[in-house]
Amino acid sequence: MQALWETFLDQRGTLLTKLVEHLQLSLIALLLALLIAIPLGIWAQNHDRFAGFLLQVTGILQTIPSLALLGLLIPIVGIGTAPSIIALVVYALLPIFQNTYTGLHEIDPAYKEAEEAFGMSKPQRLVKVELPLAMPVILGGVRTAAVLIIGTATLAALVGGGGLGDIIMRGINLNDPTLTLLGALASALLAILFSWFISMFSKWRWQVSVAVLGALVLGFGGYATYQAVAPKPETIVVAGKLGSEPEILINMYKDLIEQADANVNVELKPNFGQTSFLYSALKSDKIDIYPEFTGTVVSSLLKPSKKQAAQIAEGQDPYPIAESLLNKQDLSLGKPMAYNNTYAVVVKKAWAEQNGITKISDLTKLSTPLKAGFDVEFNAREDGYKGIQSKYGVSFTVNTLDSSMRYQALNRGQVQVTDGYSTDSQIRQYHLLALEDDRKLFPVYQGAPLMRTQFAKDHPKLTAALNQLGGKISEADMQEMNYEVNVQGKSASAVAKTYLTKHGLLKEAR
Amino acid sequence: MTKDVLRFEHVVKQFEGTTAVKDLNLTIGDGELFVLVGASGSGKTTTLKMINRLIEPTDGNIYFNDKRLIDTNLRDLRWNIGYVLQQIALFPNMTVAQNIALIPQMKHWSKEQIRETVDEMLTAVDLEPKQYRDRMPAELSGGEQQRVGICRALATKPPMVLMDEPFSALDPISRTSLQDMVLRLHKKMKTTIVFVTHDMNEAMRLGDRIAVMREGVLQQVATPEEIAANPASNFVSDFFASAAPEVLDTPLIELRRFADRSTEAGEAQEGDPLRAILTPLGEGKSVTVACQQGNFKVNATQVMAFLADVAKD
Ligand SMILES: Nc1ncnc2c1ncn2[C@@H]1O[C@H](COP(=O)(O)OP(=O)(O)O)[C@@H](O)[C@H]1O
Ligand SMILES: [Mg+2]
Repeated sequence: MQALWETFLDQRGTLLTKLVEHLQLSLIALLLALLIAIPLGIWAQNHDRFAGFLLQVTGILQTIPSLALLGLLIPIVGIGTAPSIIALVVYALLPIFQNTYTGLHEIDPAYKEAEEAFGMSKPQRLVKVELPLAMPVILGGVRTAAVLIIGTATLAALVGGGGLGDIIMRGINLNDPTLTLLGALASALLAILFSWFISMFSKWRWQVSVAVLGALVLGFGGYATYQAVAPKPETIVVAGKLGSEPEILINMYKDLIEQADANVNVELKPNFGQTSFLYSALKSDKIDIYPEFTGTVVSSLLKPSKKQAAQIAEGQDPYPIAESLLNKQDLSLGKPMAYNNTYAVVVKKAWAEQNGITKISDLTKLSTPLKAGFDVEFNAREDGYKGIQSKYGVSFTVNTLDSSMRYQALNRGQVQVTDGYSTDSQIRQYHLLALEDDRKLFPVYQGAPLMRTQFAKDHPKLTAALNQLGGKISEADMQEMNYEVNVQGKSASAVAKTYLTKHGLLKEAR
Repeated sequence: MTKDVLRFEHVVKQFEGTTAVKDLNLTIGDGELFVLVGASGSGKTTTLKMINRLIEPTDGNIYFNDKRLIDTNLRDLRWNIGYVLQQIALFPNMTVAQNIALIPQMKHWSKEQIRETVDEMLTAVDLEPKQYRDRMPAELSGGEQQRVGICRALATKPPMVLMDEPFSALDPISRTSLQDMVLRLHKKMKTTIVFVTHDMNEAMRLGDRIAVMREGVLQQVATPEEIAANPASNFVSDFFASAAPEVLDTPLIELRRFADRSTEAGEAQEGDPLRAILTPLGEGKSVTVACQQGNFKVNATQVMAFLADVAKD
């Protein structure tokens, strides 16, 4: 409870922005869904067969898992708020349509007979009698839809749509349950509040409800337009992948950029998404810079030629290859930092000292096979466990574990070896050792800022500022900084600032 | 008789499977209170709804003021023909005043005129305007609701009003007073009223002329006196006989004012006929009757007092 309160105080600024984002996203989706589903529900009154068909379609749409729907939408509409809103609208259609349809359908036929006998026109019947009579049922549907939307909107974070999901994701990636809890609580609270608000609607006269809804729309619409239209100093958007390490790096970028050019405003988007999102966001101008790894470029983003692939397999530095491949895509990679964030074979430090082990090849000295806990992917990769077997001639008794469990398993002695990344904070936290890859099995993953070539040309001062990080930050530095953020709960921006100041990259009095 | 306002010529209405109305020929005079009576399913509602074209005839023609109904503008027709439903159907989202003002508003009357009409109508049906104007329908008793229903139909003083079993869902006491009210309003406003009922008593009480229907066929159209004197068929005479008030069929609620209040559970219902409790009364027991306005307990002496009262008039 105490921890939650502290996290709340610490994060209240972010929480508020994310809350507003979340509310905006939800409201826009709800409104669109209302605009589609209510007229459809009205129209379906006199089209029974079509109504049945629509109920089925909206029902089917609702059974598509939300993640899958987002995934399907990305190739069509890209990432960001668009796919999030579309997905949310899709989910909200059924309850609103269904309730509008049944609410109107179940009005006592005597009222309909009376309307007709009094010579009321179709619109008069709808506005004066039928909609008001069906309103409680319709609002019930709107309520269900709103609660559904607010809950599902947390998934928008996965596609860069923002909202409270960002906080939840950050909590998961930083292994900070209180942060996750905070995001989840805020989302739940919002849902409850919204649901209450809508239930008040049925108590007010419907004209009042429409007025309130209208005011909300105008308010948010106006706010969004203002944001879009108002002139601003140049804003550079720097995004990062999931986790503490990219967040620390982009905070360093921010400090360095703002030191180099006081007229720009850096907007950070930490935990923006997976590699492919960031890459397409960069290409489509949604973000300007993000830290990328050389190894990732040559192994998953772009396809090296056969010759280049062979060179990489021999253990050559992939940086020049990555750069030339990226240049063809009109992208540029800045100078790489020192540390190599690659796979690592991790053991307990004390155990390693006892057995005189510092490198992977030392493991051959042990007679009985060790128990290893590997991530499923690592276990199957050529440059993972398979490579260890062929290149080092070492075999283990392997249990596959989820990556989130492996360090705990190692720490508790359930396994003696596990895979990891060379800069993981847990190495520092649990006093572990990443064994040296003396036969160069693992590919080299060096981090550097990635941006569009045009952007780099337009902002030479900024590229120079970022290149100051070239050759800086060792694996131990990174482990330490990750440890400070993930375990000690320091903010990424503070940790970044301390490092830059300590290494003379940032002037102190700022 | 004055001129005819409504004329049915060889009107037939078929639904899938049934013929609800068979070759109907009928004229209704201006200002008449015309009652259509018949058992359930005899085609009364179908006939009535063909007048305001809620139902279109399969064959034949209906003339309103010598103009074929199908040649009249539907909206004008409906604004000229008031409609009172058995289910009352006051719009529950509107106040009493808003319900009454519905058609005047569609006709773009001034606010002033609407307000005056609402109050005038409420007064005409014995509801104090100040007290009732802003109430919601759900806050009214069934009898009060139907009074408002009649106000709604009469607000624009249409030349004709249709009423489809408007009182059959009401308790006997409200029914009697609403019947009186309809007679009074009809006398005052001289509107043509077509009134549908299955209750021959009600028909005899209200009708200037009565049309008896049976299975879609008109049996007799005549004044109540003529029907009493010369029933056209056995069916009509039987139906008429059912109207002769049988004292033993009196609903128990009529005995209430002679009885004592009671908090005990009812052994009989307020709508049960007097004959249903003869046995216990004969044995000298008293009977508790369940009643919405409060249960009451009646004994043989009190029943005798009631009978004496009936015999008086
Ligand atoms: N919409 C309809 N569809 C089919 N049959 C109907 C419909 N309306 C009435 N009927 C039938 O027509 C006959 C007359 O019905 P109705 O005019 O409602 O009788 P009443 O009002 O005298 O009780 C009944 O047999 C009834 O079942
Ligand atoms: Mg009927």
